[in-house]
Amino acid sequence: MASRTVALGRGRAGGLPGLGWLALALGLGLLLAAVWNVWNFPLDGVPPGRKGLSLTLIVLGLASGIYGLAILARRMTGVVPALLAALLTLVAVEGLLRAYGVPPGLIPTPTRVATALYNSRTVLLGDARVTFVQEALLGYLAGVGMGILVALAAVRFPFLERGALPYAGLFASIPIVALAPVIVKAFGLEWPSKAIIVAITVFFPVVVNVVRGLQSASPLLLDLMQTYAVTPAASFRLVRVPSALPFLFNALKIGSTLALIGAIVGEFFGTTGQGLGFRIQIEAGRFNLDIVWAAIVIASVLGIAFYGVISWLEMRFTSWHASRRQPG
Amino acid sequence: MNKAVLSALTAALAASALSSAGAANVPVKLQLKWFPQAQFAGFFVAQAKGFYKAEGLDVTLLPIGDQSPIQTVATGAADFGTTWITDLLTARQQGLPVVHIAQLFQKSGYTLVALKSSNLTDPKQFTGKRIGVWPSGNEYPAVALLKKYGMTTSLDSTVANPSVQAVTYPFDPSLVFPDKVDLVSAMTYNEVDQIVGLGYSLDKLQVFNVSDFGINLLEDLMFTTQKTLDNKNFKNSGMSGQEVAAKLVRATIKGWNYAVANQKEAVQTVLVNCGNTCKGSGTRASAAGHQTWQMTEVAKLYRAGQTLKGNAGLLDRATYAANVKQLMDLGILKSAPSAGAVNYKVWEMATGKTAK
Repeated sequence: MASRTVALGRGRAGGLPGLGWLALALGLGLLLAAVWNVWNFPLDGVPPGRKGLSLTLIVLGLASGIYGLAILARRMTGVVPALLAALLTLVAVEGLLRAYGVPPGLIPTPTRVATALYNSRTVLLGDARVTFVQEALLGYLAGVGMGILVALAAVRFPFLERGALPYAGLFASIPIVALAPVIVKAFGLEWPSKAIIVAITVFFPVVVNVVRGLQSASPLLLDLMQTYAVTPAASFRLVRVPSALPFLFNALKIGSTLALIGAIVGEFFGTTGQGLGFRIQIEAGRFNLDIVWAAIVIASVLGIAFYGVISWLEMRFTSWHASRRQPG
Repeated sequence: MNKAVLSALTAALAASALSSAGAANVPVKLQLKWFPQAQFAGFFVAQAKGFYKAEGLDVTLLPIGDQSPIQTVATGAADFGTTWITDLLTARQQGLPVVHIAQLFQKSGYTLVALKSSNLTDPKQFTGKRIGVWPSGNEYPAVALLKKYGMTTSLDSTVANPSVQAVTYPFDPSLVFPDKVDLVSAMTYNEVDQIVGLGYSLDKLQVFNVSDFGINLLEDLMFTTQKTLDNKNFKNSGMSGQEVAAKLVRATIKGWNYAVANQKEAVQTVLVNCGNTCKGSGTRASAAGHQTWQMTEVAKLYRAGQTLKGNAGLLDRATYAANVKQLMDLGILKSAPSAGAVNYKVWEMATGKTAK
């Protein structure tokens, strides 16, 4: 709330919103004109005159668009300015790639990627199901579950903490690229091997963070519980678990990005013909970079959504925490 | 008088130094399609025997890395490369200006291998089977064979319910065969021997040579970019890109002719250049044994077609036309490649013959 009022306050001091929209629309119009000007030419057949004109239009369009966006961004919050910025960038990139005749086998234009996304949607969604639901999500849940159990044991039995926890820190730093081929070879090409890779990569940050979280409970509060003659189990639930939650969510957020990386990289080392990593590998080898980019778009959307869900859960469960409280 | 002689001498010395500097070998980077092995015997022999040096070239043979040869050549990390024809033509279709300059192997060595006990005798029976293929453009011969028999695979990004399950794996057939797949990709000169090494002797194997089923997509060829060919002064050597290409092709053909004529010696040359990658597997792990097999098989692919007519390195026009037609019929190529996809002038310059 506070940040919004600040933004509005600054907005009033800024330029007119009408001018912002006007400049943005003009910029977008110029960029679209630049794209249209070089739309349908063979790669090496863009006439130099048209190329020059398009480049000029792109520079002018970007300048005007960014100026308009700057005015608007002062008045708006949320994702609208970011989306407008992405739109400007995509149209400008489309124009540049077409003006310079860059082969789609090296960098496909955004419209080609969008077309590929649409044409291959059934296959890509099937790939996403394998990679995200079967490999990343199942592996993630298994890794988190195991991590929490081991952390609880380590806190309960100090010899585990001193004897085994240092190794958890050590293993956590193994790069996934080194781990993946070994696991795929050991557990086969089907999705379970990737789920195992994901579980392993998620497991260690969870263990390390949860142990640290459980131990971060304030001794004052624990003493207080003792004076109230609260049972150890209740004391654990009332003091230790809440203090561990921010640490756990930290690990969950780290894990959410690691999970998708692990699943995709794991697929580079052998699959049974489905998955986003498989699709990226096979189509990159065929120079169908438009499908590769479409798969990347899907992977990013899934990754952002996954992270978003965890952040939302974090808000719900740790809203009491100092870092979540609003100032003032 | 003496002074004049001295200065004349120094001038002569300086001139000879200059001229030898001018004749310094031109550095050329050639990207191989795979790790060093007898598949590239001709290149290694040409280098070891000094055939490249004799042409004034200082050739570096690059083993495969993370990228396909097309990518390293198209982006300029290598000047020339070896690859397969489908790879080259699909890359061209995607706008990469790569050009075919010489055809080394005149025949396809790609096979699909099954156990005899699987009772597979005809590609028609492949429906519903699992087939192991290598990614990165090496899957096309299998895809072409399946398409020819009306089957689809999960390798096609537009097919939702494929009739054949494709399994990808990192090249070593022991990873998937025979447990995870019914059929596995194997080159006559490499993986077939590896499978034999795993304990399945040839009489227990059903080997489908895709060329026997009308899929003769040409393999190891030499290519470069249009930009390199158009270069008037290749790396300041004073030679055009086309001249350098012709010298490279000439020395390479010489190397290949020597290698297939002196296979034992060629294998020794290859072995010097490779580490672990030359080994076979299981009972046939010995690098020398495996590379001897490979040299024998590779020689069969080299000594076929135009090579038998005395035109080693020449891309047979009829075979090329058939390859293009096949790839278009199968929908792998969407349009016919432009005439610039193949440059016959390089081969003509290299051999002094006319490409018919």
